[in-house]
Amino acid sequence: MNWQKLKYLLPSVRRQSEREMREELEALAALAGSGELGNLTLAAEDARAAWGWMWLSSLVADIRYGVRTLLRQPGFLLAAVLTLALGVGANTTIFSVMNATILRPLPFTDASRLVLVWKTSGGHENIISAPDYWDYKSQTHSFEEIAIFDSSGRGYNLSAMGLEPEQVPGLRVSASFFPLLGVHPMLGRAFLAEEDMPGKAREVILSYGLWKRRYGADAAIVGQTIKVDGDDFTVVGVMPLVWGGSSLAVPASCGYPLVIPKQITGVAITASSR
Amino acid sequence: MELLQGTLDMLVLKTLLFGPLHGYGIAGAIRGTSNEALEIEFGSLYPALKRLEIKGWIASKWDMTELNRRAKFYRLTPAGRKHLVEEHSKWAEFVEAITSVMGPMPAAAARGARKG
Repeated sequence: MNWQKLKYLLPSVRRQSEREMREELEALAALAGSGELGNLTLAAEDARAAWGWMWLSSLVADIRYGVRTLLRQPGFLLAAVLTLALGVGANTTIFSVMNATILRPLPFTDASRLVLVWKTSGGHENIISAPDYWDYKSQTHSFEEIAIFDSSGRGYNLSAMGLEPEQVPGLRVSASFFPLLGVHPMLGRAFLAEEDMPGKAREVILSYGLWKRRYGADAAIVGQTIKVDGDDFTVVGVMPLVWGGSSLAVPASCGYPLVIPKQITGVAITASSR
Repeated sequence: MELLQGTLDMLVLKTLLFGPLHGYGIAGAIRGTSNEALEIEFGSLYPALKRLEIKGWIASKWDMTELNRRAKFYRLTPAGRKHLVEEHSKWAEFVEAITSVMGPMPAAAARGARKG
């Protein structure tokens, strides 16, 4: 590093050298015959390069020029900024989704062996009816276990004496759903096989979030009765935090505050083939 | 004749060894000492002077020419003198190496060149 060059960072030094240079070149031009020295502007330009900061001053000049040009065309500036913003935003969003759904492993046991199966009719994905599900369950031999869930619908109304009524998103699942995913309740138990028979469902499993927020993280809630859609449901279990807090194969937007076995309709989630 | 790349600095330092000169004078001195063989473009000489000055090998001062005109005179600094000695021995080695490869022109090649 030539420390001499550093002083040329100062505008005053540069101005001084510039003056000296002009004076010297004028004196030489007077000394020599006209035209003998060639292009003096170019010579001065090349001499300035010796200061070593040409790249910086041309960078500053370019930035100034760019800013001025942009300010003169605000419409273009707006379009450019918007294009960049949307481009960056779209990339970030796509990566977030890819990361959550594809790159990060599912928080389930043996996630690589889980498959989501849809019924198709006329080339389109369609929901599975309850009788179909029962047929698949008893007649298919490609899967270790089959479960079904329904995340559609308007959510579930919770009401109770002394508590604000509220509507929460929920999931209807078969009794095989939680064992298949390898997710175990933190408190209480999962659904029993007989509890997902049509017309029998009167049990509910709470998510960690709902349990904490609405029921004050009271462990004694298990075994108690709460009002769901105006009916009495018995709380049989509470899911651990990871269940609702992480990315899921099933639509994460549901949030899983509430799990209710009812008569089954909907799409199926199935364990992988052997 | 074109200058070999990187030899201009050396020529300038050598020229200033004999006393201070202004930019125009340096170009003329090199032309003269080389028997008019080396034509120095002022456009390359002037940036070279600024480069050498920043490196501290030459220094400049305003003075009067013999014809009583103002000009900036460059002189060799002690650091420049030291650098010139190094460059000089490097140059001598270079010339020796090239010469031992090229040698005198073989008679056969010279005859061939005449025929062609």
